[in-house]
Amino acid sequence: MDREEIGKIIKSPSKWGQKYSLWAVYFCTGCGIIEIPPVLTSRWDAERFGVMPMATPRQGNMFLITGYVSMKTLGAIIRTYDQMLDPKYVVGFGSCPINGGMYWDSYNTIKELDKYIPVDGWIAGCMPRPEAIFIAVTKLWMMIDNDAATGYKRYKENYQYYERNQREVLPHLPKFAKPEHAQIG
Amino acid sequence: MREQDIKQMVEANFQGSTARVQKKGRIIVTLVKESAPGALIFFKANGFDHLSAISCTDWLKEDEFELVYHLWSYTERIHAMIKTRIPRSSPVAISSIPVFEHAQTYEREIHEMFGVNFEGNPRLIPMFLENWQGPPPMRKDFNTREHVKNAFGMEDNLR
Amino acid sequence: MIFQAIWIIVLPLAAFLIAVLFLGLSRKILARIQRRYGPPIYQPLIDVIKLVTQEENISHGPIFGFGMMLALAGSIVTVLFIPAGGIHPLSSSGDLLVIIYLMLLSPLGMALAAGAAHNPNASMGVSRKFVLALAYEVPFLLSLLAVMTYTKSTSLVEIIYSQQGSVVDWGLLRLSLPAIATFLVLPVMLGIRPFDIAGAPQEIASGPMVELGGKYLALAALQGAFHTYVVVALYVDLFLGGGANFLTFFVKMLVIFLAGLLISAVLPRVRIDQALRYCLKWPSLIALLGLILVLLTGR
Repeated sequence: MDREEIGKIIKSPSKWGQKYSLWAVYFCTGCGIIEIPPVLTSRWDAERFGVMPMATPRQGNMFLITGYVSMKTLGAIIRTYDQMLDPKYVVGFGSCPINGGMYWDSYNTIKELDKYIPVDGWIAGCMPRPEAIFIAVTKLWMMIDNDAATGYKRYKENYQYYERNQREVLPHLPKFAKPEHAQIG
Repeated sequence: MREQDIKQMVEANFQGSTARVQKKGRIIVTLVKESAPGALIFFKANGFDHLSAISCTDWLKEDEFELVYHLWSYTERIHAMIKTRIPRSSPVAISSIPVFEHAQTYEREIHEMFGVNFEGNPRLIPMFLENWQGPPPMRKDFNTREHVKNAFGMEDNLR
Repeated sequence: MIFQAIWIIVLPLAAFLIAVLFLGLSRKILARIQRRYGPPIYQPLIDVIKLVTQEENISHGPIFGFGMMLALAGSIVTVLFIPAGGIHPLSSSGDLLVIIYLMLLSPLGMALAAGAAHNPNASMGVSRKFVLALAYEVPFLLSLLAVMTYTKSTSLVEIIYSQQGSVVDWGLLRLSLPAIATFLVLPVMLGIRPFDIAGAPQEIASGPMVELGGKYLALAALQGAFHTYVVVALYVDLFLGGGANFLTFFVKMLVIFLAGLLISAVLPRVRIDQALRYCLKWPSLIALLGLILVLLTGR
């Protein structure tokens, strides 16, 4: 820790907390999750960055969308994202969330993840190597410092836009049901 | 050799059937569609008690679907493929659940992806597709790029 | 009187610092055992700051927060009853029995919070937690009976006083069987691997903590840290002579904590029925044997 760092900590301890304690929700969305266990175990240690896997969305504040997103998975991702507590960050792994990737002409995967949930950063690759994942984590730190990782604020401000897109592909999600049938969380 | 015995048994018992030994441990049996349930019972009684999968091929030019039942015998280590053809315009087949109970999942998938109706299967509900309104997607005359353009509004891939 | 009031405020703070230090040390040492670098030792501080600055987006009702506060309060009050190297603000005769009761207050608080969460994973975790509590109470209470019979008192201060002298007078060497039995169930009491069944992330999605996020999770983490302090301090007071001043007390606690940590670093998690069978087999037998020896021979 150098003197600049201590100055930043004193000015805004909440940002210090959010940066160095990114708990990733361990939801394996697609085939890219195969790159996460090497990142978390001894060879490329993610815990020294403060990144730990968490079992439930209520405890995590970073959501990694690894790999392709099929329609069913999109429903689960929306439900998980809605359950997470603010501030939350979404990172898209691989080329499939960016523009469809390898499945660009498939009938069952979505092509642009940004239309359904707000994404803070993308990592290119199929799959990215652990070193790329660590560079992404440090870039996310810089974004949090500059107040640029505001995906959760965008979601709340433009909720109509996101809800319209979600309803277009998944009109039968439980959260769109009538209020007396809606579930908690 | 056991494969030759099975080949002779099949050709003797089922009218209009041909059996071919592709190599050691692999038999391909082609039947008319009415013989399919009887053939499954026959094979199960002769040691083929594992149904590995049911697969479907879309022969667009011949206007037929081909259903293939993959059976495996643990005792003799022979893989038997039973092929039947059903017409494409009204694809109906008889369910194999009375013979192999787990055929329910494979028939459900073929119903969802190809549109084949299996009579006797109580659970032909969607498995993979959510809120699907188009034609069965694995058919060869289903244009995926057209569908993707309509559903997601994506332009043609610039590659 | 004034001193007592000061110690009542200072002792939980000191326990809090030690507990957080143990949390950070455990992650670092575990990482080094696994041949990687691990987070810095002040990582629990960063985690707690992050958890406290998160905003809730749903309310589970008033009992949810009340249960968590009850759990944390139970642990903090228990800290006040355990002598810490010469500091014992609230001790009196019979305080060992009070401690046994107070130690069950925190699972009760967690159970209340888990009940308000309406999550089947939480209910499963709570039931496993209570089964584990039932399991370790048997050998633990038998050992405590042996200690209380030997020293003929139920006051922790007198138990520590009777172990003064030298190392030979420690409970570890004079009452070795109860000490061994309690050490065997120490991982069960602490809730560390191989017995962290109640809060298993992989099996029941963190058990009672499945719906805890933000400040409730911070409360749960603090409660876990306090509970570790309570259990380790109790073991040190009962069997290792307590400590003449706070420094020796802290060193002894560190030794016991590291022993527990090194055990938990290399063992996998067991099932709940295996844990129950383990606690009711050898530790109970050894504790029973120790109790019979004390009753028969007085040593």
